[in-house]
This record gives sequence, structure tokens and C-alpha cells, in this order.
Amino acid sequence: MLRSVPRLLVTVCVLAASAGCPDPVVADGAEGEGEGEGEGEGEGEPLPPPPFAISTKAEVAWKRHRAVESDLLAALALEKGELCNELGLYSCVDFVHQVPLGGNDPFVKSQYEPLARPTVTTPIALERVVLSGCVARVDKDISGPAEVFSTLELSASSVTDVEADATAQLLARRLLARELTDAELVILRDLTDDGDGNAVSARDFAITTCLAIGTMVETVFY
Amino acid sequence: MKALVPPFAVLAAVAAVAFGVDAQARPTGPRLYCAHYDDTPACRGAIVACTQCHTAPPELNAYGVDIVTALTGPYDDVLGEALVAVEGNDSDGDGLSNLEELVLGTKPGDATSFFAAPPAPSGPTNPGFDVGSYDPAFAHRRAMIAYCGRSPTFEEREAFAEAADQRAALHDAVDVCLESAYWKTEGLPRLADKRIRPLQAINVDGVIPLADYAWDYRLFVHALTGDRDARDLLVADYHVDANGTVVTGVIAGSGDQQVGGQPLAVDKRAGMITTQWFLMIHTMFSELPRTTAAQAYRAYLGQDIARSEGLLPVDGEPVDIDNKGVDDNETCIYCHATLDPLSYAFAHYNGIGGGGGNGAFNAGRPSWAPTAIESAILDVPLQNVHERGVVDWARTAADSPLFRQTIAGMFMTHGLGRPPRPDELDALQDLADRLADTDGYRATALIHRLVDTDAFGVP
Repeated sequence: MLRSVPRLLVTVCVLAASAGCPDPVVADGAEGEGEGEGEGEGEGEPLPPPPFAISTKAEVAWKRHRAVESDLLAALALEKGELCNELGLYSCVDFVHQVPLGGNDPFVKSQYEPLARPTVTTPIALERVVLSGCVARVDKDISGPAEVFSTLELSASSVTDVEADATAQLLARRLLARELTDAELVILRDLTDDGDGNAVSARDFAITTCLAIGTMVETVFY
Repeated sequence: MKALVPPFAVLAAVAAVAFGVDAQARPTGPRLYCAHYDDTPACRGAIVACTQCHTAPPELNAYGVDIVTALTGPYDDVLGEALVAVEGNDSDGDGLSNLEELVLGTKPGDATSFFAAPPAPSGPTNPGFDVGSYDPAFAHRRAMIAYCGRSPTFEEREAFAEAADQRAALHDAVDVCLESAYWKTEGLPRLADKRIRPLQAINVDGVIPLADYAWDYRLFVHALTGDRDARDLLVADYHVDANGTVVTGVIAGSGDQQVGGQPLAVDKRAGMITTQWFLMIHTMFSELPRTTAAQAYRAYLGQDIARSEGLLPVDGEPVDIDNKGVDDNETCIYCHATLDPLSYAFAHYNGIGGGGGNGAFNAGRPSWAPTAIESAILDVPLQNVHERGVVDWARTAADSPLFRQTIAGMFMTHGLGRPPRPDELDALQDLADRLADTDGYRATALIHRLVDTDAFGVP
């Protein structure tokens, strides 16, 4: 389904690094395909400092499971039961991924306090939940009147830059409560092709863009 | 950092011999320490923990070694002089003098505990945040997530940005959030979890029904919302039923043990610490319910005896009234000289089983004569506990600085998503003081003040 995953990962990383910056600085290596020969994190040119004052408190708060869920449901116009259910039975937020998403179960598991910090599985759980919501919303919009993806013809086999920008901006308003910068829009246009020059369907573009924006740093930390 | 400090026990023993220090003495240190440093964070609304000077009592940390080395006479007489003598030292080698650490609230005997205030932001204006200054929009988002359980929408952020008085708009939003279903059914209950310690398997609807913790959650939420007095957490003589209605007196449960009810008359009630659930889950079958008292002390006064906190030993205690061997001079007395006097008042209530049902006040408990013991909390002796139960225990606790510090700390830690840092401890103290002085112990007022602090609103 998601043929553009390598490109998507690069996009997500760049968007994460530039979260909150109106004119994000893009690292030199950002144009790669996501499968290079780097040695891992820390390799390559470090991002230069932003050209404005930044917080010296160097802290963010973790937006935990319930707020993440509430924000996703509102942004994607979904009901609670439509968002990530394991086997269609167990809520990812309330049960399956409750702890890595920042919740706790005092009643059955005697977890009287949630984790202080995100775990290594937090990004994985978050991506699953967001992706579930994005797929659910796109499919509902395909089968009925579009409630969210009104800027796309979801049955189309390709997406224009104008449609891409409008869709990304619409999603950013709903998921981030802000508008994207021009630089961010340019990055997201990459999702209109699969990296080999082949057009991506409108459905896949909608899902990957939704996932990219919905998993940005600022959707989980504040 | 010092690579290794000399053997602490040896130094302590040398000092003991030289100056007549009773190396096996009951822990008088915290009381003496806070008499000397009453306005430092370790003692404001708290009792300094033994770990200020010890790794694990009686072993000393580097700061404790310096103090013992500086003693020039009997410990109780000259501790103050010794504390002053080592103020200029950097016992743990973390770059801050002991006095600097005491003022900051970091640990002078722990090299991993230190603090350096962040520098002021510099550079051109940040287009997204008012970094280094109170940013109402930042505080608005933080408050919405903390108290409404969701982020503000794009439209709400736009409206907030255009508000003529953003501070007023912020507090309006907080008001709405504090009345929201999220705050009352999820936000506050999650703050109650570690205080109630629920366990579904033995809840009224569990496989072994023994009590109903829903009563506890409802009272917790009730006392911390609206215009209620937060001290009701400890002194409420009522319950809150499933409809949100305040009810008083005995509430019938099912079976001989009155499971799911509330078996106490008004004059034996003391908020969260005498619900059927609290007494059942902590006392269980104990004649002297030390676990019950320790949990009440931990949950509502912030003092965890298991972590060597809150030790205020009573002379002559522990008397080991239940023959558990807690009067062992080398180990148990360090905590039990405080814990046992805290516990005696709870001995008059059932845990699981007993006449009147689970958690009932039982004239047949305990087996010992009430005159043989001295019940006390925070250095306040309690009278007639065989008649009054823990009512006076709870009132003393509720009116103490430790209670308001615990409540302020609970909300500040929740609001910030982390405990307050050393440069935010003055704000915490202010919240605690005003809770009592001007806010009528209303948690809602405290939260409004919290939202206005730099700790909350300065990105």
C-alpha cells in the first residue's frame, strides 16, 4: 500500500526536526532516499542553530494517551471505536498501547503512576494509532461525503502540487492547529511521487501526508 | 567529585566515641536539622529526609561525613554548629557549596543532584514562542492539554490570539476545563490512583469482593473541584454517592462485612483515610495497622517512611506493643519510633473482617489498653484515640504545612509534566502558602495561580 515509505520516513524526520520553526533549516542529507550508508544518528552535518532565540529551558511536556486520542479523533472526525482497535476488540489507546502512550492501568495491573518519560516503543505505538486513524478517515471519505479530505479527488491516480499543498495545509490546521510554512509544504510535496518518479495515488498521498503531519514532534510534545 | 569518601561507619564510630554521640540513637537529626534550616526547601512543608546526610541510615554520605567530622561535642547539642561549619564545603564535589545546595534544594551529599539556572534566551525574536517571557498562548495550550485533555483547535488558537485580554481568556479556558468531564473522570482520578491503590480483583465487582473504591475516587474528585476545601480529603465526614450527592452516616453494604458500603458513623469519619476501601486494603488483618498509617502519611503529607522521610520519633517508642520485634535498637527503631505512634489511632478500625464489617470502627480492637501507648502525629500527641479514632490525626495532618505542600506539589508536578526544579521551588512554596492563606484551600484557585506562574507559562 505505502510504496513511498522510505521517502515518507525522510519527510517525517525533517518535519520533526523543524517542528515549530517557521522557516525550517534542512540538513544537507535530507535529499537522500532514506537508505544511505550513514553510520546512524549523529553522523553528517549538524543542523545549524535556528536564526532566532530559542528556549533555554530545554524541556517539553509529553502529551499523553488521552490527549493524543482526543486530538486525533477531533482532527480526523472519528468516533472512539474507529481509532485503532486490536482485532477489532481492544483499544490501542486504552489497552494495547496504553503504557507506551503515557497512560497507566491502576485497576488491573496496579500501575498507580504512568511512565515519567516515553519509551522506545512510544513512537511505534503512536505511528500505529495515527496511521489507523488516517486510513479510517480516508476510507470513510472515499465511501461517503468527504469530511476531512475535501481538497482531493481521492479516487485519482495522482495529485497535483496545488492539491497537495491544500491537503497538507488542511491537515496541519486540524492536527497541529497551525498552518504549515512554505518550506514544510515543499517537503510534503515529495509524497506525491514514490521516489522513482511514479505518481502516487490520491488515497496513498492522503494517508502518508496525514501520517507525516500527525506524528510530528509537536503532536506529542508541547 | 571525590573518588571515594572514607568509611562512613568508621568516622561515625570515631565521632561517637570522641563526643559521646549515641551511634544507635533514634533519628533526632531531621528535627534538629529543620530547626536550624527551617526556611530551606528540604524543610519547607516537609521534614528533611534521612538521605540528606545518609546513603541508607546509618551509613553516611559525603555531607554526613563532613558534619560528623565537624562535631565538637554531643550530637544533639552541637549539630547546629557543625552544620554551619560545613556550609562552605562542597562535600559531594559537584561544584556547588553545601550552603548553595541547601538554598537551591539539591542534595549536598549527592554529586548527581545539582542545578544551574538556564541562561536567558538570546537572539532575534522567536516567531513561534515568546521564549524567556510569560507566553499566554503557550500557557493556553499547556492548560488545555493538562485540564481539558485535548489541545486547542486551530480556531480556538486564532480566537485566543485575538483576545483583548489573553490572561483573562486563559483563565476562562481553565475554568471550563476544571468543570470538564475529562478533568473529573480522568485527570483527577489518575492523580488519586497512587493514593487509593485500587485493585479490581477485590473490588465490589471483583472475584473476591471486599470494598468499593468508587467511593474513594468520588470523594477525591469532589474535594478538589468547585469551591470545596481540599482538606476534605482528610477531614470529610461524608461520602459522595454515584449521583454526586453528598451523603453522611452509615451506608449499608452487602453481607456480614457490609461490602461496598461505608460502615462509619460521622464522628469516626476522616476523609479518604477511613473509607472502607482504604482501611480494608491497607489494614487487612493487622492489629496494629502500620501500613495504613504509612500510606496516609505518604499519600497526603508526602512523607514516605520507607524512604526515610518524615521521621519524628516519639520518646520511649516503639514499645513494640504487638510483639513484632520493632524495638530492635540497631534497625527497626529508626522508623518505628515515628511509625508506631502514627499507627495506634488506626488500630480501632477493622481491616478485613471483624464486628461491624470491613473498615468498621470496632470497640473490640485492639487487644491492648489504650493508656499503654502514646499516639502522635507531627509531634502533636493525640488523646482518646480509642474513642475518636483518627479524626484528630486527620485534622492535625490537614492543617499542617505538609498537607498543603503535598497538594501544591501534586498539582504543580501534574501541570508541568515533571516535578518543579530548584528555581521553581519558590513558586511551589507560594502556591502552598496561598492555598491556606488566601485561597480557602480550594484546589481550583491553586490551579489558577499555577497557570500564572513562570514555571507554567514561560517557554
